[in-house]
Amino acid sequence: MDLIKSDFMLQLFEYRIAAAMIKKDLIASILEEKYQLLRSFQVLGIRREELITCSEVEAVLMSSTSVKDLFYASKCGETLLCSFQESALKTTVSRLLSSLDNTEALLDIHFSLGTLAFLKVQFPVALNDPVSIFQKIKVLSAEDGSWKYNPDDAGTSAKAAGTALETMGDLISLAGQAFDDAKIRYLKGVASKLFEFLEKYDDGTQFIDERPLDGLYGGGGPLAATSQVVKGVAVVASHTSGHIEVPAERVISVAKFFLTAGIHGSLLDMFHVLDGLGVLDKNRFLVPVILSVRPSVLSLSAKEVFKISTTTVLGSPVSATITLRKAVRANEKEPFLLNQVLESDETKGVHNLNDILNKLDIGSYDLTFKVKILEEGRYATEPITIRRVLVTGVASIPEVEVGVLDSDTGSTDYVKRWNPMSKEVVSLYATHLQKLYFGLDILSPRQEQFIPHQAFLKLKHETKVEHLFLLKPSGKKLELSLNLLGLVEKLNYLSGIYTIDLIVGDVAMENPVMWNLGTVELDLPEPPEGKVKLTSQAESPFKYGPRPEITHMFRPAEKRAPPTLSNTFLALTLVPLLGFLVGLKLLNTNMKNFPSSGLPVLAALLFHLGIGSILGLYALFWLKLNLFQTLKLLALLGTVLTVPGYYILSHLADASAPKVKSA
Amino acid sequence: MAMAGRAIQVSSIIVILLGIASGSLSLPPDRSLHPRILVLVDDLTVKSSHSLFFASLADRGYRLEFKLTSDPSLALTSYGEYLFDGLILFAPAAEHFGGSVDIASILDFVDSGRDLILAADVGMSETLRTIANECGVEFDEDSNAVVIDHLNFAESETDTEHSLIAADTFVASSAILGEKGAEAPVLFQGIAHSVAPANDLVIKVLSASASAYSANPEVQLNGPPSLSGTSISLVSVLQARNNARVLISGSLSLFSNKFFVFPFKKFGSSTSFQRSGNQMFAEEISKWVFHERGHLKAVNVHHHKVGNLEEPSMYRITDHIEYSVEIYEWTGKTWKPYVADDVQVQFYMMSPYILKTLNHNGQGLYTTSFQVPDVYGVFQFKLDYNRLGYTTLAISKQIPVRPFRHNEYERFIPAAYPYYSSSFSMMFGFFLFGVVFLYHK
Repeated sequence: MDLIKSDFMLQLFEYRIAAAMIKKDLIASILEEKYQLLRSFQVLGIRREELITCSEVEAVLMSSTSVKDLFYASKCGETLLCSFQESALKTTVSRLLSSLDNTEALLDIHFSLGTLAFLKVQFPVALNDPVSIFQKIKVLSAEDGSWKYNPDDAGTSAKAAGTALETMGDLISLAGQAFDDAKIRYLKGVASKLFEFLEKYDDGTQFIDERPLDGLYGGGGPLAATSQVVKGVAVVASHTSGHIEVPAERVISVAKFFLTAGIHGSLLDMFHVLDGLGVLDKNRFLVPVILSVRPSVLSLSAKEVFKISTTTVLGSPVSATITLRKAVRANEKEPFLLNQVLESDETKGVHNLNDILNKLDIGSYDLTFKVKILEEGRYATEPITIRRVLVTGVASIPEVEVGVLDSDTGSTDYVKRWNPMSKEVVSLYATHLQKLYFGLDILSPRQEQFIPHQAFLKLKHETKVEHLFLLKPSGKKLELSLNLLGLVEKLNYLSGIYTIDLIVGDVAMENPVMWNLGTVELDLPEPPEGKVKLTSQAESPFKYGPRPEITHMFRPAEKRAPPTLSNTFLALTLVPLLGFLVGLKLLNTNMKNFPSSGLPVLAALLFHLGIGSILGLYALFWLKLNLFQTLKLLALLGTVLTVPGYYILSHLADASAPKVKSA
Repeated sequence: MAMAGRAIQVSSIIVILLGIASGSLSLPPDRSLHPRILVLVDDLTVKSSHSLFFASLADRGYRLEFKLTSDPSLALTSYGEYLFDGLILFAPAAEHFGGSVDIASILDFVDSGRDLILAADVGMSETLRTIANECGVEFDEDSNAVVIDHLNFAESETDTEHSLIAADTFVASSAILGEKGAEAPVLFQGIAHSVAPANDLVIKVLSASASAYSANPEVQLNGPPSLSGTSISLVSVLQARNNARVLISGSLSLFSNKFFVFPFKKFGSSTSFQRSGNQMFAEEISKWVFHERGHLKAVNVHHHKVGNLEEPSMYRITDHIEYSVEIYEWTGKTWKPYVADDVQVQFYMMSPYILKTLNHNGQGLYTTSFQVPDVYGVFQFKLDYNRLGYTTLAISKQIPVRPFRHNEYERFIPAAYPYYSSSFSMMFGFFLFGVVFLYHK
């Protein structure tokens, strides 16, 4: 039986995930949250006893003065199936009974009666005046069947009506004998009226919306409101005999509303969904029955069969007979199967759809079922249900035809049958005057032609530029014919080697493929003038990441003579001076013409000292002085030099002149 | 394209605080320690159905504020001040926003350097397309198209379209995806988008596989799909020139609790994953988007001659100089020293004359030394640091370089000794000749 999953079981999986998440970080501290967790886990079938124990519940029941805490403690006790001693809770009971007399607020009455209704299961509890309590609650009702929480409330709401019904139900369970048929009829009328407050979503699900008034009393949104209303009706139904008139399709829509609500991660939302479903699953007015088809994706290769189950929202099987009214292939009109009663097992909860299997091929199908529940009255179901199922299988591609055709004549220049088994690659060559041709058959497991959703041929140039083409059905084949002349512009006049990839896939195909067929070398014409040939879109390798280092190349030092050479020439330049000195020595130079006395000596010394200092000035100019300093000093020295220069030269001239005359 | 243009137009140059004379510990946090984030949803159930993602943000110190897109009191600014540091747009179908929020104000929000997470989904509105378009991302025009991949989908009982993609082509960047990266494929169900290859600012974080395509699964194709193969981006990020970061995902459910904990088996593979990589991916990438990783700043840029700590106003050719800069990375709480071996500095005049990798001391201080080239002119110290997933650092400091002065050349050249000596021997000879000529008898 575990093969069968109802729609809810799938949801259940998600709720379990949500529950697991709550486990992680939520240690519920408030009694109300503890109850919500307990109840959620109860519906999910998970036992979580560490949340609260019976003795803790008893402690709260004995000591707490808040009716709300008492109520949630008793709810926890109910979930945990605790039992208590009458003696311990006597004071609590009497306190609750007296508080009932003193309050007119719906929620307070609800909490007190709820607690008492639970305690009544353990030991007898007697209400003082059940009819006056009934009247107190009834006073809060409005004409249209909605309710107030407090006598001085401005508006009314359906959620409050749900609470009121639940309270009334508790009241009946505590003091049923006090109510006559008129009151019970009134209650049933309210209950069936409540379903008129339903609002519709686009997808057909129905819910009860929150009213501004509810925001003041806890809120919780449509989930809480719908859940409360369903609970109220269910409690009334469980404590009264006979039938409550509720339209079946509305109950189904409400069930769908809870089933499609999904998980939202919040404890409160999950609680309302699960609580609502828990009530719908077991109630005495109408139990919605959901038809589920499993698997919704059927694999032909795994030899699976369809199991159709009729279950309550939480997955308990419900006996029914199911007729397959028709089975239509998606996107087709003519049904291929009509009116077939399904076989079922003994419980009549699970039905097999065997006959259809040998007629199914891969693809999507719409199955229309007619459901007739064996046990009338208790259950509500959609009479006609349409479910879409997907059938998958292995499609076969025997070969791929790859060819090069002549554009003009259409004659085949080259053709190759590419074999998927050997996967031997082809290498083609084509010019812009030719056509490339690709063709393949895809056969379904029933050897029918199958057109997949994805049948692409990809040409990929060396520069990673890709072009995608679609293979289209033509006759029995999928074909693609590429007229290269018309494509040169699209291919950007980019000649070179392209790799050919074939991608075929579909939801119904269990063996999607991506094959490399080989390569084609295209010889395309050069682009016309003015057209820029797009080159590779390759990114610069240094867009991110370090670049290669750059070091500066310094200008090389100028070439210079080696020291030995320059030293040799240094010596050589001194040779003339040496020769001069040697020459002077050889000539036996003397200083006999040097004046011998007085002023001429001084003049001669000053003259040569002057010349010497000018030469020294030149040396200084070389070493440190600049031109201006040098010229200034030179002018000074030169001027000073003229005086002794003139004097000594004229003296020397005078000294030699008489001789010349005498000679 | 559009964003690039917009970014040039609007962005202020990268915010770099120069010259804060302080160490790493006392660096002021330029960014908020408890950033406020506005979460815009078009259905409040998103708050609970994506609660794990929001909880991870809240745990990291973000203050989240949830608003419906239709909320009439919506506002991003109040008296010219931005009220939020980040915006999460989990409202794929939102056509209009309430209050003072519209496309222009959201783009201004990004232009002011603030961050945006945008999740699209099937049936995304024209408004969201426009915002995505301005961020350099183009979604498939067919509003019913989803990403389909018949070879790389996650097996699931409810997915009959092969549109639950198990994607594992991630960008190779530890800055964006964290050190560990994603350990399991990321589940994606949504629509495809593409980024312009010429746009340097947008990075494809999660790409589709070669067999993926974007199409309406209900309709038989008439021509090749507009987006296919690896050019499909599933999740992209944009780092604008002003360092605003934008995350664009084609799938809102990628961030959902359901996908976070979804155990699955990838088609054709024997390994099944206990849970998807979504939670890790979403958390890591949100760290990046909200600047907890990869946000750098450079401070204390100094340069000087070797042996002289003062920063000169000019260098001479062939000077030996040292350059230093401190780089820090923001962690969401503090600035920590950034450690990398690939920070480079250029000595630049029209083109780089020198490009050198900086050495670092592991404490965020990067140094190097080099010799100024023998070319004079106005140079720049340029530090252009552009790494995938990191903020771009672009610091330049101008410095002129002069040639030698006349007296800075070499004074006595050995090769010229013959010339020196010949002059002086000539001068000496001249002096001697004068004496001899005048007084010889």
